[in-house]
Amino acid sequence: MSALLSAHGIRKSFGGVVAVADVTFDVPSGEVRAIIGPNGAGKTTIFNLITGIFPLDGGTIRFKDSTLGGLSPWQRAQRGIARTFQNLQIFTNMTVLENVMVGRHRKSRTGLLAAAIRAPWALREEARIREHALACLELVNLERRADDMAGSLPFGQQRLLEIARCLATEPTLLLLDEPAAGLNRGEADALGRLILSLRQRGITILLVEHLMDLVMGISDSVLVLNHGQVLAQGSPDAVQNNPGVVEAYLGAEVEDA
Amino acid sequence: MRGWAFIGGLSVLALIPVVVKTPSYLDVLIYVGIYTIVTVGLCLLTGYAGQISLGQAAFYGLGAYTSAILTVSYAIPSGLALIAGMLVTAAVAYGFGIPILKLKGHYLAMATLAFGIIVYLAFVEFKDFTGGPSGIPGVPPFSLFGFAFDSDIKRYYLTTGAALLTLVVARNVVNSRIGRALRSIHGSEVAAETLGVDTARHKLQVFALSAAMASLAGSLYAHHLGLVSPAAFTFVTSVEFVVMAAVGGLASVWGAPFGAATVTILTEGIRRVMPLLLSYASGEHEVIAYGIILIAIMIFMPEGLVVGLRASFWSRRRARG
Ligand SMILES: Nc1ncnc2c1ncn2[C@@H]1O[C@H](COP(=O)(O)OP(=O)(O)OP(=O)(O)O)[C@@H](O)[C@H]1O
Ligand SMILES: [Mg+2]
Repeated sequence: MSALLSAHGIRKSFGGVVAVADVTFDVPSGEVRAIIGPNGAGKTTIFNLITGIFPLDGGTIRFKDSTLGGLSPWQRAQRGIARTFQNLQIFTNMTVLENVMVGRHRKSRTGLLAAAIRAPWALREEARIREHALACLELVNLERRADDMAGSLPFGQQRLLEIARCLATEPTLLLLDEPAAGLNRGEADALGRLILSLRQRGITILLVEHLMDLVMGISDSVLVLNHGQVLAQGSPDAVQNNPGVVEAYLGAEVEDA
Repeated sequence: MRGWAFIGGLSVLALIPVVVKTPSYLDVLIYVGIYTIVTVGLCLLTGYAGQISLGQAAFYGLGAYTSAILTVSYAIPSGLALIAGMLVTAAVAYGFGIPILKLKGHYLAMATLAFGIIVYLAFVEFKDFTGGPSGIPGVPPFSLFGFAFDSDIKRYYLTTGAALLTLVVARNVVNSRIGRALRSIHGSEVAAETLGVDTARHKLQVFALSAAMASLAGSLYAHHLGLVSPAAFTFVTSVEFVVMAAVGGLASVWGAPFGAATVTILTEGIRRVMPLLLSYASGEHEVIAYGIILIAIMIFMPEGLVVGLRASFWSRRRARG
């Protein structure tokens, strides 16, 4: 079975800073794959490369057996890649529900002209968009906040809103960038269950997260990154017992603490 | 409830010419209608999609000149000329938008400003088509299916009707998938893109739409005044449009008529009062007034006159208990 996503020798630097040095990995379909590593290891940059926010300096990324090279972020979204943002990117000028409705953009087609004349099919589509978006909000338990302004949600719920917005696009691959940041223990557990239920629905998940309990509890495999390079990869157990990882990453945290 | 408010509003608009007999007042109301159309477009572009234009007078001028040239030199029916103007102007905006809508903030403002100046110079310089600095006189009244809008009262209904139509179209767009995409660009362009919104295409579309609206207004202006000349399409006019949009409040297209009315009436007042105060005062002083209005709005009512006044009304009511 070939991988859903495969990155081969990808590189990215910003001026003199090498953010991603030479990274190769596969994400098999249906897995929860975690990427961990200390701050500045290059995790978010890898997400930005996969979603096309930045062009690659080198290497290739293939998705569903075709290269993503040269595609804009919206085209990659059309192909089934969705992501959340470590530094939240909520549409604060819209309600919670409208945020999710934007996610239906790729699955709907009303154009400027049909919208301008309120064509009947456009109104019917609008109703379907609303219904589907509400269902996505229910998945993350935010349906009661549907009509509130998105900026009024606490941070933890804004993270869930970003996930709901992604689900509205019906992604094949979902990239989550530190979804547990700012969540309390109970909320983090609920998030873990949500992620597993998404995998159950057939969504492949790439998870960047610092909360080790969560990562080790739900991931099928873990990729450890350090200074833009792959330090280790394998099952949660194997990675946790890898001496190099313990020294470079987990050790560093113990020192910090 | 809203239906009744709408019908009530329509009746008031319909009855205004019956009550207002002074020709110069009716003239002001005609301009309010014309400017409302431009302001609605700017509101979609800036308020919803978050893109700035300091060159809207160029599109307004393109509409006016297209209508004037086609009706005067080629005797083409004014309705067709108006539509041709909108298509040409939208196409120009689209073509010009491809490179410049990649710019953001101040850079976009500068580029649209430069575009406005270039188009203005074209109006002045291409004398064979545009009549140069003195422009094109003798533009006939607008006429549709043989009915000529040849009096101020008729033109009041024409421009007010066109303004209402523009408002309805804008409202429909805003409350749709397209309007949501525009607002998402304003909210977070990167998030919009990663959710599958082709932001470049939507920005171009709304830019062209706002240009087409400005063009429509320009055509109505040309037929109302009977004359087009470059002086009406300068940078000052572009700034005036931005002030109208800001005064009306960018968050809703319904603010546009209020912004257009406030600024038009204020400008008219300044034009009459200024020469009395300062004997050497000329039109240029309007710019100073616009600047002051804009600054005051930004400080005291950043969300525009309508929202600002409503908020202070409610807070006063609440204070009273
Ligand atoms: N847009 C950018 N411009 C300049 N440098 C950047 C940019 N994005 C990332 N970097 C740099 O690249 C390196 C990797 O950053 P990245 O955000 O990918 O790390 P990360 O693993 O996500 O860290 P964290 O856990 O703190 O989120 C850092 O040194 C960072 O400063
Ligand atoms: Mg990061």
